[in-house]
Amino acid sequence: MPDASDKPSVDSSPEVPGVTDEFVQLFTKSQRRLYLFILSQVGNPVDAEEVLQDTNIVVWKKCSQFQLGTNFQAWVSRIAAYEVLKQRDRKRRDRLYFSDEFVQQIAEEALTNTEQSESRRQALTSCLGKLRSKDRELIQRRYTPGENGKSVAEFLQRPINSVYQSLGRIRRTLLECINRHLAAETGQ
Amino acid sequence: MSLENGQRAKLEELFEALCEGRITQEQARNLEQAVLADVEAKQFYLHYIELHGNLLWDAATTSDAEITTAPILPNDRRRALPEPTVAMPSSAEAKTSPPFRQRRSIASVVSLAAGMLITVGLIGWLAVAAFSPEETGQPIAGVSPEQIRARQVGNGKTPRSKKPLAPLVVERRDGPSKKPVDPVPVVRNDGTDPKQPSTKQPGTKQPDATPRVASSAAEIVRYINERIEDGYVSAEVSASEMADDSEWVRRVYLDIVGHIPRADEVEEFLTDTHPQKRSRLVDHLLDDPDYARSWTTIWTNLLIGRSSAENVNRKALKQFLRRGFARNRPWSETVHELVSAEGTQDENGATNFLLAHLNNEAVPATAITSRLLLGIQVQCTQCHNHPFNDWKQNQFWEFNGFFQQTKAVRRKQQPSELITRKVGGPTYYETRQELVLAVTPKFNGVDVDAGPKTNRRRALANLMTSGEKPPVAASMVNRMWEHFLGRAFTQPVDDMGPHNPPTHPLLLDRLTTEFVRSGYDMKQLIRWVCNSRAYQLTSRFNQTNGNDDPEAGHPPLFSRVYVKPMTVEQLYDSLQVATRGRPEYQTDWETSDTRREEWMQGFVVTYNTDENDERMMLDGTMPQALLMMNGALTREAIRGERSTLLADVFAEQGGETDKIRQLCLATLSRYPSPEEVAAIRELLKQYGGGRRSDMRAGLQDYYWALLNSNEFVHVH
Repeated sequence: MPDASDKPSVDSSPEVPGVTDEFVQLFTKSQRRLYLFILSQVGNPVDAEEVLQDTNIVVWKKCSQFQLGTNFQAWVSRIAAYEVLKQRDRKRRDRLYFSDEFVQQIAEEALTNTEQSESRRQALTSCLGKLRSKDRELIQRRYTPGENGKSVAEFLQRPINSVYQSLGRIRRTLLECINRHLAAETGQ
Repeated sequence: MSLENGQRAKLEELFEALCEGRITQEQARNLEQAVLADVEAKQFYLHYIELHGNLLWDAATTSDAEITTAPILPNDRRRALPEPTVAMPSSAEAKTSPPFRQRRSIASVVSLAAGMLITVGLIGWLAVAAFSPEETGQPIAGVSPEQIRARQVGNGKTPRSKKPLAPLVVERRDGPSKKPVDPVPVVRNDGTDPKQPSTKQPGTKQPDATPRVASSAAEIVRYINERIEDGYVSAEVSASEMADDSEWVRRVYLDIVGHIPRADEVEEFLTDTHPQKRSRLVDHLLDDPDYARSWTTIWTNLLIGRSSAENVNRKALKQFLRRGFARNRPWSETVHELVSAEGTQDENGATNFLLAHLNNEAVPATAITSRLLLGIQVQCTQCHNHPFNDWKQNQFWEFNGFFQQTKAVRRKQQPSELITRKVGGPTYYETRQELVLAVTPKFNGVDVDAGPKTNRRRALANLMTSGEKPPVAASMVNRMWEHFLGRAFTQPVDDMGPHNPPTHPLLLDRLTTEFVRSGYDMKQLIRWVCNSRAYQLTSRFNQTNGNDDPEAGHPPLFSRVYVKPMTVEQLYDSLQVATRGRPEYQTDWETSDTRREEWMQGFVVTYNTDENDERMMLDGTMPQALLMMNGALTREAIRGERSTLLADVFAEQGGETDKIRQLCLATLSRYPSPEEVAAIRELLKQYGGGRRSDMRAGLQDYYWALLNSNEFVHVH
């Protein structure tokens, strides 16, 4: 316990080896794709957030092991893939959506198929703008944090199945629109 | 797209069920089989999930949902997506981390410090309601969830909040800046509110010869209270409890002078027993030099954005505004000068507003002048009649006509100049039917001579600032209300057209009238708002007003004060106060503004924020959290070097508990609850064998966690 003679001597400061500005930037930039990568394997957003958190902890712990210039996204994705498996182990007894094989194959496929994701994201923004306003409102309401198809249906006092149908239709519209964008971009 | 349509439709149905969380085991098996059977199907699956994920991510990261909305969300979505950034490691992580060693590695620093952050966040002020045991895995050492809940539910239990609030009376305090600028004849203010008895509140007796302002101040506050109360009655809610002194003192400092109070200022306020100490503090803060600094920042950002375009002399504009705020210049005069300014940008700082927007036939200048200063959005009427209100296309061009004599003379290596050419004639524009029409300048139904002899901008400035309740005044009232209460009478604050009726029309109307009568006295307007009952309330919900949540789309009732994220400037200045971090805080305002802007570049660059955005908020996104957690500012502050606040706390006498209390007071402007102290002490035990240096390491982490807590970065 301190006493009166306790002088403000300088403590060992928490210097942070490995955490450079560049690392922070890469980390920040990686988050969305990392989330998408995880979501494709676990299938539900709550689990995906949990794995993302776990992954981020490990990434920070291991930041000194990362070598600048190598592929950051690949590095964090490997960590994430492992964290997905760890969560699955923990949740064994709960209901899991997917089998081990499915998860593994999807993870592989997701890693080989990343170069267009940024264009697809941009296309999405533009496609949202092209939706009919009623559709855009519905999809925005559905994706407001805390909402889901069921709560939206209750709010709108619409039959739940019709809301599910509408949401499915809007997602289809968006996907088609995104694909058209990409096709136009690549000149296909 | 080689998937056949039937197959595609089947997959879509399964994906849709997955995204809505209603997929059955059997469907999941079908989905797996179908997806794995075909490369195209795999692609389709990934694209579908990517769409779903992007929508989730964007919704969670762009909505400025406040933490206080958490309690009303269903369980499974309480953790908004951006939150993991701050609360990365879980408390369980902190507990299972290896025994602490003297030489600290980054891993353990992050993990333990983050454990602190969690602890602070959980038992702290804001995140409490969102806490539930199943989410964090384990309860925090020493504090059971029940205890934490108890603290939350029984708000106002702290003895210091028991003090009943004194009757809110505003006294007239005419600073030396008060000038007889009021062109409106002194009329006794009644007739607008027949219900008001004209008896004065005790204590409002004024020695001054002009009783109008003073007596109406108390009346106005009462009028505000009544109109707000009306809203509660019709919505069947009751107001939240009064904010305790800690909550209130922090809020009023942030709102008026733009930073948190120092620990000693908090203590002084807490121990002050004067019955009108709140209204006295408001007066005190309005005389603080940081009042002018803070409002200069706010209006500079509104007028020219945070990252000024080239050819704009930001410093000169700031000087212009600062002088005005410092001597409480009537707002009408400031507006008049901004609109009619002429001369070089260095000599007349006010010219920089229009210089920043004067291109493309003054179309941007037209739109921003109308939106910012009048609260009227005309930008879409540039090309067509407004779809919702009465603004027609010709009105845009009539308004635009006022700027047609104005020219920016830009020279290399020389200051730009704003000049008025002596030219006349109509403004031409094209309708959607490709018809070219001509209009002459006209504002609010008043035609202005379109000849070359008229100085049109000066004519406009006159028109804008005359009348009993011109939009200039209403717009300022609306902004002030938003600034202090967290929501304006209209949403958004700068769209007050007839299509967007205000939530409290009588109140807005009355305040506008009074503001004009006061001679556009900004400080007086602030006093009215700050002394209103609504401003004294806590930001917490009570049992009845759970729906008073504008974030969820409900019109504001002001039955509580809405939580606002700090602006970056508030954050920077508050960090300086909380850490006594850098000596420049005590230097002249220009130097400290420059340093602040340098620091802010981190945010501006990272987000690439639209420069004329209403406010660039600290929105809890990942890059911002990282800047906070790892930025040089924070790092230096927690190092505990000489003359920083942390060093002083280390040096002071007293045990662990005292130091915990001091740090909490310096950052969150309140004492920690006994539960918090217990929880923090429990965590400190993990820092080795109780040696002094160990405790320091622990306190450093605690301090770091406080500075990074949600409670710190919000105005509540």
